[in-house]
Amino acid sequence: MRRLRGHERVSGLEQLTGYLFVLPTFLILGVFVLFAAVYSLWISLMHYDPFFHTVYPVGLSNYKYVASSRLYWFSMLHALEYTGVVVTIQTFLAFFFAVLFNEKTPVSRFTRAIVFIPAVTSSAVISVLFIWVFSAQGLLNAFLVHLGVHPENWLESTTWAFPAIMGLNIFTTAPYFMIMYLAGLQSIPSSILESAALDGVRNAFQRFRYFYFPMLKFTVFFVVVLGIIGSMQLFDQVFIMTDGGPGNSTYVPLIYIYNQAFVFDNFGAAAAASFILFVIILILTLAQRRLISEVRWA
Amino acid sequence: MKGQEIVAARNINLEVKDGELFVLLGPSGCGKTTLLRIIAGLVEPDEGEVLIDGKVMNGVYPSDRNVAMVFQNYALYPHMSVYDNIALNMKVRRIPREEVDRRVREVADTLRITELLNHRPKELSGGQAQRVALARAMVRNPRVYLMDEPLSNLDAKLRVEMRAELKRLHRMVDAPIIYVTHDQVEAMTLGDRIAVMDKGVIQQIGSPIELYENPRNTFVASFLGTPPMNIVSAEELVGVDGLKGLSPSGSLSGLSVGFRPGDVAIGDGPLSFDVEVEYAELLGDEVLIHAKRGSTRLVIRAASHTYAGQTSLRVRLDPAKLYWFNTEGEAIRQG
Amino acid sequence: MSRISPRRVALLALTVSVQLILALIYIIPFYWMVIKSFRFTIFANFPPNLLPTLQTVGNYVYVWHFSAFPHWYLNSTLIALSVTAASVFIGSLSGYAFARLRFRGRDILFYTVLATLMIPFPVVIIAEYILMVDLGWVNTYQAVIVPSTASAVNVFLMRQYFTTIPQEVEDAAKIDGLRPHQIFFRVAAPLAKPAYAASAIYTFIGAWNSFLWPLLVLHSVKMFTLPLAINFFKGANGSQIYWNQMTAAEVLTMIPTIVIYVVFEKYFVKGIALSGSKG
Repeated sequence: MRRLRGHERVSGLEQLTGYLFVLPTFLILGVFVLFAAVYSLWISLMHYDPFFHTVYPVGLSNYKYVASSRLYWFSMLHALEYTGVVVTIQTFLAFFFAVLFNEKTPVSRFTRAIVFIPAVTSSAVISVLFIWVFSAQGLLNAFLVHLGVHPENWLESTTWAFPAIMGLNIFTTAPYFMIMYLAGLQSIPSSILESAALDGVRNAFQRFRYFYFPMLKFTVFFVVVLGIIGSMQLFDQVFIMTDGGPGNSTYVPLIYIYNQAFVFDNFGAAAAASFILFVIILILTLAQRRLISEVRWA
Repeated sequence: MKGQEIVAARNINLEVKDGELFVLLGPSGCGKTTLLRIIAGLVEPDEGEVLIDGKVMNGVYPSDRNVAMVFQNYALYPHMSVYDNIALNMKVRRIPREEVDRRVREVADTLRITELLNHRPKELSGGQAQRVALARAMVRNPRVYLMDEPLSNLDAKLRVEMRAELKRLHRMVDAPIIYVTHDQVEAMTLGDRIAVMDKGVIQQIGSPIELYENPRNTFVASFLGTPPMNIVSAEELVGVDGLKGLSPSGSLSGLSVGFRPGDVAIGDGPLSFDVEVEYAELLGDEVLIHAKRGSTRLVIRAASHTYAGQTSLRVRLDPAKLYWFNTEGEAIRQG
Repeated sequence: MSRISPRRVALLALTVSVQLILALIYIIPFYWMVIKSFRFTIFANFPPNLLPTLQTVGNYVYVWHFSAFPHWYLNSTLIALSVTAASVFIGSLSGYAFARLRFRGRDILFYTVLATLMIPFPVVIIAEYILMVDLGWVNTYQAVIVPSTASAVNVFLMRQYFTTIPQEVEDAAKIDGLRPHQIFFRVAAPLAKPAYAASAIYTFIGAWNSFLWPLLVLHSVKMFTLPLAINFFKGANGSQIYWNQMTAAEVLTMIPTIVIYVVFEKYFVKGIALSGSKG
């Protein structure tokens, strides 16, 4: 006798339903992401003025224009610096927050809820609020004068404006990524940690080294990738707080793209600049994927 | 052919008759659930046909086969009341509301779940959920019932109760029940006929007593009965007085001998041999003696008073109750 | 009687104090924002006066009546609700199809959806804007709503949830005579309420707070959403920000998302757990 075998039954109706159910997603994503990406590449090869409908191909000259722009590379360097600092700090800080607020105490639920507020708040509200925090009469100075530090008008200083924006973003995104780690931490069964305790894993360091880090490796990867993508696209806070100033000291790629398109009507160059940005983000995320997989924790 | 269905999968031919409770029995992964899902139409067979009342069902949507299925985990709709769980099938077929109501209440009455109709599945006990699952199947008056290990999630006591309940329901319906289980006790007590399956192949079909008395191979022999049949290579029994004369081939080479634990007695005589006792389980009147003959383990069922704790025993086989198997494990029929 | 070691007590005390200090750091700017919105003075005092004083509700009255605030509120609500309803519904349809329906090319299509997550928004922003110009949608609601009605994240989140619904329940529905779309609407979708809640909350908050895209396509003050209004308000009086009115506007902008956050707090971790850490 031969073995009994069968395949899952798929009716034509089920196939049809499947296609109908995914159709809306593909229409929208197809037009506004996939087509838009291709369209964007095409625009980057054109002189494009959408208002007077003057469109003609210019080859790679938009890329040449952007690539030879000191301001563009300056902004890119800023973004990289910003990404390096912010992603590093927020990744660790968020992890620390998650472990801290995962500890059940009488106040943990309440305090965790407060810390998460910036993550649900509009970037516009936070940015304007932090204009005050960083202003001459602001909260930061009020705090620092107690430590004997000379008050500063942080956002109007070419030295301090960019670090201030970095600080603001670490402040708001650390709680957001904290939630990701919390979800990861809560997916580790407590029986594993209990049996680890029986195996002689006692102190916090060993718990991290042998359990939390290896088990949360994927979450860490996720947090870093999302952090990089988010940081390289920094816009709202800079646009609202400093608009790239003072003296270009907070100029970032998206401000450049915005200005090229909406201030100078130079849509071709803006598209070219955004494509270069895309390639750089892609390289960064792929590189970090390698990096993470090479780190061996246990 | 009126009044009967033929279910065929590959060159496995199953024919299930009206009013019959047909059990598919086998260890997990043997293909019995797949076979059931093929009959239900959830899985399409690669080859072969499924017929109900002589009509080919291949390609027919599950609900159009007029089959009802009871699942191992009951598969009740968690977000609907018991009433809606039972009524859903009729609602989607646009049966008038009064008719739906009448039939739901009728079946709820039969299964004694009327007072549960407004509850949600998560408020039910295992036994109650099982009754609701049965009600959902019965209300449709299907041509065939398919039951996939319906009792395996219940605790031992409830299982015995539900088994009796199933027997009662079985007598009330004409449609055949195809019942999948891995529990041979369930199969023996419930089944009118049993198909024993292993590795996707039907090993034997027959009434419980046929399978018990005439197993076609060592798999069936050792799957039915508790404790299972002892199967000993005849080589281990060389020199046992009179055994060779009973062999169907006149020789002991390449054969195995099977005997039920109850068909071997303590004592000397023809067909007797020595075994070493490993341990004994006292069950009251009876004792199960776990022993060894050479490298083969045996179980002997004896009356408690006949065993006094010896570490080695002489035991005697009943010549009328021996089974012979060849090297492939197939039974050799005598006479 | 259980004995608690002094070391444990010390550790608990330390944990509680660090939690409290962090909460304090996080709350102070928002706390100041609230009390400032009830003050008379335009300027921010130095050092900041953190005493809880209620001097006037006039800032709220002013912001509500003497600006287009009601209109902005309406815009934001309309846009965020439409985006949420559409994106969650469309996402759940596709998520279900990818989780449970079988059709040719399903896996390739699913990976295509995931791949769109690799394309950062700035790459498409220029093309998308020009598309809006071509469609004549600039300065309309649909310019903000339509591109956001499909979200790969929601598709993924819903798919993850639908795969956890027992297959047997769907088989039972199939045998009960439900067609695939009926299984979705009558069985699967009602069972996926937590996933709907989680993705609705994240989508709503994202849409409510979104800044860059509305900034590009909404030009007239009447069409502004609240974040654009906040930015507009910031520059309304030249370089001087009228902090008491500004903070009142900020509080009004924050209220809906904070209310949602407080009411649905338990879904926040759940939503992330669904979409993220399980891969």
